[in-house]
Amino acid sequence: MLKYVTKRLAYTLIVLVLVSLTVFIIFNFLPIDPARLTCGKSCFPALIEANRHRLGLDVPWWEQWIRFMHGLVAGRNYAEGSAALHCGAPSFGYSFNQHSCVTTIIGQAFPVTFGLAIGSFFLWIVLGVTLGVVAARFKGRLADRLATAFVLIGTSLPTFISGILILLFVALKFNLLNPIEMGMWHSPFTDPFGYFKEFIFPCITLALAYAASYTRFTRSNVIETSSEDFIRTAKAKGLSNKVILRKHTLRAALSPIITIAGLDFAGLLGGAIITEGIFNLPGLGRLSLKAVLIDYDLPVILATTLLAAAFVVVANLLVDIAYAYIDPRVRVG
Amino acid sequence: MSDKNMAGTRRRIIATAAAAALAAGGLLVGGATGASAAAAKSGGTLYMVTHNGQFAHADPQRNYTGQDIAFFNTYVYRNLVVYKPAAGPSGSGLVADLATNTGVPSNNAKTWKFTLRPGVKWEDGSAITCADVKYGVSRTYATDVITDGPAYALSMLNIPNNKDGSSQYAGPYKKTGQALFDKAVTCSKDNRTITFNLGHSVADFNYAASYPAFGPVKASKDTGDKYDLKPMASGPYKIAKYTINGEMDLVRNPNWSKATDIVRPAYPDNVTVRFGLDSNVIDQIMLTDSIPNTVNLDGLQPVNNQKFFAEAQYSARRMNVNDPYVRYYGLNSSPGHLDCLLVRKAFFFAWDTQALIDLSGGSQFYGAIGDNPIKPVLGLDYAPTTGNTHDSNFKAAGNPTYAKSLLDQAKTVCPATYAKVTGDVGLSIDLPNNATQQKASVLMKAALSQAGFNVKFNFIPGGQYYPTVQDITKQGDASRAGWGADWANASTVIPPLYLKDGGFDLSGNWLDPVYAGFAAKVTAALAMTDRPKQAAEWKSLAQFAMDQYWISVPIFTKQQLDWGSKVGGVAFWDPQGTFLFPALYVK
Amino acid sequence: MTTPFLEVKNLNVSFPTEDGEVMASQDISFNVALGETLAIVGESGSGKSVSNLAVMGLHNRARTNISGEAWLNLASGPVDVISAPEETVRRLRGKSMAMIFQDPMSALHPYYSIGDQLSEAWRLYNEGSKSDGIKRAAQMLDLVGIPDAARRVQEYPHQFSGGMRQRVMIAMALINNPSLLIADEPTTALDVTVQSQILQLLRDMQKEFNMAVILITHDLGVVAEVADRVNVMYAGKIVEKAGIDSIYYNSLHPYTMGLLSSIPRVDQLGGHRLKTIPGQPPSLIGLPAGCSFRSRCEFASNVTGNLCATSAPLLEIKAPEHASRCHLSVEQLNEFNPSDVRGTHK
Repeated sequence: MLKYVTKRLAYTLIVLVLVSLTVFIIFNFLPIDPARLTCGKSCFPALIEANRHRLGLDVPWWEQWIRFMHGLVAGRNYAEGSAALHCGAPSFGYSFNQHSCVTTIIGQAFPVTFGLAIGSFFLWIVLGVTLGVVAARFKGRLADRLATAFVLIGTSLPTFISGILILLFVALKFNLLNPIEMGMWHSPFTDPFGYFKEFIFPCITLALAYAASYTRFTRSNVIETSSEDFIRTAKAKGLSNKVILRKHTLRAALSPIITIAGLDFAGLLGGAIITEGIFNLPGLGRLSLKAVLIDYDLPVILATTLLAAAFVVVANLLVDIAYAYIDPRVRVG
Repeated sequence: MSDKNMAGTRRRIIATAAAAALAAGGLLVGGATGASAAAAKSGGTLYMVTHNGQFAHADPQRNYTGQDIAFFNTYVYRNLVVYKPAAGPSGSGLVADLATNTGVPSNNAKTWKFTLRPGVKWEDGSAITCADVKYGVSRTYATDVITDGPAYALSMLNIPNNKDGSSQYAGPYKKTGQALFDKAVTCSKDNRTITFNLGHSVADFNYAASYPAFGPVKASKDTGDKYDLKPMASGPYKIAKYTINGEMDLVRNPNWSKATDIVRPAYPDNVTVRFGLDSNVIDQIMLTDSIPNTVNLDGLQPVNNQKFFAEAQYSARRMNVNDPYVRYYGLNSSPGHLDCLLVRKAFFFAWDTQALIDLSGGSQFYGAIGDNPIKPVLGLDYAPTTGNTHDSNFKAAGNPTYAKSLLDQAKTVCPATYAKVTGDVGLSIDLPNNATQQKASVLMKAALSQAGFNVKFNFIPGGQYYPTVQDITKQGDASRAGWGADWANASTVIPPLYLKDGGFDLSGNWLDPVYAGFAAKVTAALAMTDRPKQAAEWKSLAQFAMDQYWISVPIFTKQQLDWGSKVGGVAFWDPQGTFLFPALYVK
Repeated sequence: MTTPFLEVKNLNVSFPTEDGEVMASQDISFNVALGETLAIVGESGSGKSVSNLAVMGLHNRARTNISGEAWLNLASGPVDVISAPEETVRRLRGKSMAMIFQDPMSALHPYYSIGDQLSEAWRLYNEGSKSDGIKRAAQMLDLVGIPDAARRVQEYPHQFSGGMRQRVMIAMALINNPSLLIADEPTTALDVTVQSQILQLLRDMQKEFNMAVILITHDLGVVAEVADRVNVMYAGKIVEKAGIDSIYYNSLHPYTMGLLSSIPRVDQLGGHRLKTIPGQPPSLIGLPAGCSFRSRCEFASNVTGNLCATSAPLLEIKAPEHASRCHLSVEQLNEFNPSDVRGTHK
């Protein structure tokens, strides 16, 4: 097991390095000149070049990459003279748009996204799996049909609609949320109730969107597993239906969910762009959207892209390790 | 969202973003006030909401968008001079603020002196000195740190340039050429009078000085790039908290003294700006008046705007005004593009202006057909032009027959240009890539095709739109644009729009044979200190530009404002194109 | 004759489907006593598993129509597992009656260790800790001939070969000392060499535990090694039931005869072509009147008149301890019985 984990860790590191290289190459070949974008009204070539130097874009992409990697390990300095700045390791760069080290910006945005991801993850797993199991157990009956209706609505209603509906017709309509306070970021430690109020609606929005597919997935997996030979064996042993469902059916039916859930969760950690936008949560999704669409804030785009990729890669690793733990067949192979 | 908030880097260039057809329905047009005559009241929290994630800049030397300047000059900074806090045309006049006068010119307006008011203090309790103003101005020269700000100091102060166009002074961080700056800007011995030595006559330098770029910064508190997050306050409020995508919270600055300030009543106890709210949430707040002490910095979304300006229940909370902007398409008259007057004229007359206005909210909300790059709000410098939209052949919905006849003439007069715009190469129009412009392109194509143009479009992502079209090698034949005067003088309209180095010349006209004579007149007008004579010159130059058809049909745009029922004193600040912030109070 | 442990009387199992009712097994009656092995032989779909799953109560009652009786003569008194409440039947499963299945590869839960799975079965009916259960599991594994049982008890199903897994299944079925073991095609999925080992094991275990064993198989060759009596099933019905020798030497049903001649035999190597029964068994939905086998029966023409088509034959006693469902007379059947089967089988 240890050898397996070590090997997978090494692969993961290599993948992350490759991802960072790819991102650098892609940004290098985009037909956008970030230096030109920083140039104000009185633009002349020397200023563009000065800005290019300030942004560290006056060297080839591979050198930018080496500087970036070096910054990650050792920190980096920006600007010159009395306006010089330093971003300590691990430095993802400096955002001249937000006037902060990218690591600091990420550090502020990540807890928001993390809270949203955890909250909605918990909700959708509980909701999706419960509904799926109920639907499977009462296949063809009313409960099953209601669950199917939920799946249909959930999968066909995008978050930018469900989010707005929940916000306007539930949260604001019944004064459950003060619109002027939205996104003021209540700390879960000093103001748990404020935090809860702020996060419950976006969590529900996301959970609804995800839960639907988990319901469908759980339902079909439970039904499929129920007809497995080993379930008949369990029955033949004299186990009660409850024990069979809990210990035998679900164990086998839900294990594949770990893969999907792990990757979905990792995807959310990269930022829920639409939901964060609607509920004004200053998380990674808002951050990347603003960086891409409004500011073309390259260091932030780079960092959020890499981070999102890293989450997925690391989630893959964790899922595989979890799988090895759950499914003995993987462990040996 | 109002256009200018999205412009970011340039105060007066209208942004490229979806231009949420600023709809509305009020009858009030022009610096009207929506507030009753009730007496203003101190105290309370004034909220402002916007879907933008942050102020473009909070650093005085980098601040260059109308609303941001108005906001910070009202609440956080004091400035040598500011616009008069008054509704209507008088708001375009200057009042002394940090200075005791609005500037004293001498030496044929090549030297300007301002004397500082005594007793004005920084947030930290120290006195604001001439050295602080001088240091603030010097920061504009640190172009690698202090980005996006106006470049008036760079172009006006008597400091020589390097060959590549950059100044020989590199700003206070690197200090290269510091002696040159110390000569151009000097302080009196008592550290109270600042003297600006200009490289050429600038009759309205004091208007440039109304920009916070000429405001003070205390050298020991300068944090370079990070100063943009927390500039030290000199005005009635200080920044208690500022988080991007979050909020800016202003609280009273105990070191501000009302006695020294004739501009700012400073009514509310707190001013809180909430950033990044979803447009739907903002509209909901405004429609339901759920947070009555709120001012909407963005304007409503089109559908809600129509409702808001149609229903009587909102009548006390809305205002429909002329904004400072003119919208047009720059017609690229450089060789290989629309280098033939007849072709440009054909374009002008084929243009379905009405359809485009209707697409963006109609005459009521979006704007009216204009005849000039200078907007009537500039008063002195505006006069109706002749020809163009006053021509008997002009039709608001386009006149393809007439346009076709012009093109037919072009066939013999300038066959190459004719062949290009009607043939396979075609006429290319630059548009920012968004839903509204995608729709607009269909209307444009329909109208121009009827006249015989082969129309093509180049959709450019929003953030890269202006950098792209301002590069003559990348510009197409016609590019969507907008512009507003920096202050009430067409010196901030005609030169930037039609001089090669003006900064926003989308007409490529410096390659036009008529350019040399035109440019000479513009340069001469810039130096005129006789204001009425200068105004006459601007009028004639605007007429010339229109006769050359360097731009498509101008549209004088409108803007709608809305606010909550507990906000008092609401009025429009003409020169800033936004709320008259100093007058706002919480009822 | 001893009192049978299991008495099945007129058992019918059918599944309602969209296309109609599938008559999976009809009018099934048989007995099996402790220490005795009954083989149930037939092609797939003949209803041989279905009737036994009904005895085990493994059908979903909501989706199955079951009628008839199946009595377990327990020490505590007889119980009809067909009419008894589901919970009562469940408490008998694994304790009084156990079942092993065709495919040992998929019949064990892949995520649990062998020890866990055996221990779970034991602890269901015995007081004891989990480690007691594991110990007991190891004993059982040892008993069914798995070497190094104490270590292998911690391993997972995928670490065992097919034959070993079937041994595990047997161990698990027998861990609570049941009186009835239903083995549903226990050797079908296994290599030929492993097959006889498993059959041998079943025989040994039967002796060890003194069980009634029902061996369900499509392979008459397997039956010969272990069964005392044989029921041959076709299209949901028992078509012949008799002692093992009677079936082999004096089969009284054309279908059984067909099956017998299709067995490859060691003493007939070289050149001898195996006979097959032509045609397909009929659909179990809307069975036609008459004999279900008639379309494949090579002797149907010998029956007077149109009897095979019009009237379904009854299961009649045609010889001592020997019943058959056929319109042909015993004489005719004896005549048609292939001589090689009669003459050469030991």
